[in-house]
Amino acid sequence: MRNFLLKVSAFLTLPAILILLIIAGLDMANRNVTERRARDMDYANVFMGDSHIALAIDHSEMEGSINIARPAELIGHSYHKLRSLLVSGSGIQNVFLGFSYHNIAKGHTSTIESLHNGTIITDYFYLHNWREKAGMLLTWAVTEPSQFRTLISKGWMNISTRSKKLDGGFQNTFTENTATKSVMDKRILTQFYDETSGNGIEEKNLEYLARIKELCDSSGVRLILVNTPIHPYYRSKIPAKFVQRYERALDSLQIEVMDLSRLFHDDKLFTFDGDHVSYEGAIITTRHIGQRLKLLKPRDQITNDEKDQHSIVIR
Amino acid sequence: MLFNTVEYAMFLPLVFVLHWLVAANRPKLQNVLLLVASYFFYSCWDWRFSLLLAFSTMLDFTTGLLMLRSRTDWARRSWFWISVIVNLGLLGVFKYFNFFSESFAAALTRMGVSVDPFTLRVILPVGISFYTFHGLSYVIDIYKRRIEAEKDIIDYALFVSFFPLLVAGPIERATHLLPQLKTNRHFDSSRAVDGLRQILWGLFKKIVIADNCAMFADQIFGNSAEQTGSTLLLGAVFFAFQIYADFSGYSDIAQGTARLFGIELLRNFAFPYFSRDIAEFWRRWHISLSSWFRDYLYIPLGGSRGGTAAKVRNTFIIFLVSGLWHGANWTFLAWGFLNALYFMPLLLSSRNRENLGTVAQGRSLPTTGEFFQMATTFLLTVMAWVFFRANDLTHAIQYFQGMLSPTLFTLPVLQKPVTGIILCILLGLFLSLEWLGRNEKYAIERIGVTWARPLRYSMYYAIMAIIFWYGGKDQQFIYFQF
Repeated sequence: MRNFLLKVSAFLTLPAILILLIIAGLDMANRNVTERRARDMDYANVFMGDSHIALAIDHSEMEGSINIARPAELIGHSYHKLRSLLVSGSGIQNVFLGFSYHNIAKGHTSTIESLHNGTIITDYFYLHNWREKAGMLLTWAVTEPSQFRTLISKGWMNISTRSKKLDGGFQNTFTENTATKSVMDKRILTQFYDETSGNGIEEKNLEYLARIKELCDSSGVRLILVNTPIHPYYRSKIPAKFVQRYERALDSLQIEVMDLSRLFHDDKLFTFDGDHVSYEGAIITTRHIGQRLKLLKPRDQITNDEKDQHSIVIR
Repeated sequence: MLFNTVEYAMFLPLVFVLHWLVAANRPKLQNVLLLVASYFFYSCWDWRFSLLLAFSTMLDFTTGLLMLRSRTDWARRSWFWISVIVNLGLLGVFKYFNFFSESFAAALTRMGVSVDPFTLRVILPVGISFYTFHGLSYVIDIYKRRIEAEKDIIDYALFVSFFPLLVAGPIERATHLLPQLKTNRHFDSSRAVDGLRQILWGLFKKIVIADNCAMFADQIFGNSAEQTGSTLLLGAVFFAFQIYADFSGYSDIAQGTARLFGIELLRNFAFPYFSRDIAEFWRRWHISLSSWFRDYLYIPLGGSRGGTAAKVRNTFIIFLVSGLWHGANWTFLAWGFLNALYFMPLLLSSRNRENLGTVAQGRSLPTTGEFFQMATTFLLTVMAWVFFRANDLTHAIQYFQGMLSPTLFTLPVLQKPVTGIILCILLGLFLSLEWLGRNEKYAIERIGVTWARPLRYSMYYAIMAIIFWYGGKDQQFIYFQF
């Protein structure tokens, strides 16, 4: 009996070790690819965040800028992505991070985590530090072993595409649509209300924001949050506590914000959900940001009178 | 707790170690341990279900004893009918009440009498059809004086609730399982290895074949109105493989698990898609249920004795009841009816027992005739599966209409063609292994057993690698809903 147990344990341990070795090998290779990618990142302005940024900013229209936002990218993912980019030799001067009210909502976060758990989290796995990686592997080993397969295929894909997949970029195909009230109502429900977590604040996202600020400060990079345009109806439906918490958090962290949430209100400039801009809206948003970028002064040279002109609120 | 989950992968070794190390050589303790583990396993779905299971167990155990102690035939018969009526009553309430109520209301509405159907808001307890049939076979066997009533409640409760067979069979018989529970079980390493091998094969069937086929079958059946005829045919073929690999995979895991504890369960599948006619198919498909209906329904009805009309009637009854057993839906009845129709030519020409042995015995390949017979039988079952899988009868008819259109002769269109091609290759590998092992209990029972250890282990690792790499999206076992 004991002999049988030993044999079976040994038989099962071998593939487990093999899988871990493959992941470790892919991890090393991914690190090299990520570092090379960071060194090649020859852009002064980097736009990052989730679909709000991915749909709103056409970086090809702005010199020295790149949009690396990806749909469903949580603020924690952005932190790991940014950390991998801010290595010595990268020419990044300004980071424009999409950060709006939904980013602090539990409903939004849990929706992303539950809907895209495997696909999204494994995309960013190789950017985490070893302790976080170990924690994730342990969790998946007891909850969802199929993630190991995804990790291996994603790790391989990252190497073969030189990590380009994580770069995301401008994507907007919403050319013929208009903000619709019923869709906006639905969107509000999924973003700010969640059956299990209620309409709570996702504190871990605020912690990640603080870590991003700290990271940028220590790397000598300027962090500016971008609150992309939202439809006035949608905006009116956002529970007040999210707006208040958002303002309070930014005040306490002293982060600059480019608040474009009221930039326009025409239905056609938004997608159905009123939470993202349409292609036409993206052109206007990009043009607006481009103009602001030209006027962007170093942070310490901005006077109180110029704050409004720059559309940048220094908190 | 499903067989293909991490929870089960932790639960099984724990029970195994406790069974063989802590309770070794103490059969009573082994049975108590397995009983506790079985109730825990069942409670993982919903603890309230275990109360129903306990009630059903106590009912049959008590009526069994009361039948034994009855001094008159009248008393024996009374206890027997009480058990049968309560058992079927429970099944009726949980599984069929709403169906009959809604169907009755719909029939009245068609006659011009508008009635709101009275329905019950109850969820179907997992495995109720299986353990009810365990209990029924037990009381029927006592009533027919085939067995003595069991006097040990632990042994009897374990017979009903033994976790490998609790939720989806095989439907055991007291004559087969109870004696095994009463013997002193000793650990046998080669038997345990055999059990693990069967579990591995069951997992391959479920995770690689069934779950991947399910992905395409769900997509095709879910959007059947937009598919070409050839795609619909392919969807039905995928479902045929899904349901076979799903249920026989489950049965393999159940049998392999039981073997780890030194217990043999009844065989449930014997390579049914290599059948040469429908009668052979039904001798090889869900054997424990088919034989249950044969022994407890078909034979008491008169079986194949009597005239042609009686034989036809009994065959239709057995297939219709079998359809209804699967669920309260007209689609299952239609599936049963169609299979009865398929069976008729064989029955009427007395050729239903023509193919009793394994196909191509002593040969590596079938003859052209055998191949044609197998292909025809497979195609017939595929057509019947459309009823089984469809949401309702209208959906099934529309599915057939779409399939039998001119687009039947075009190339099928799949959403993920590369995955589809990989799946077809895996199906080829699966069928090849099944063909090679068609004389055994399960496909890989003998394959590689005599090989050198490195080669044999390589084969197991290759199967594990395919499960790891090509495993489909997690799906619940189809038969859990029955």
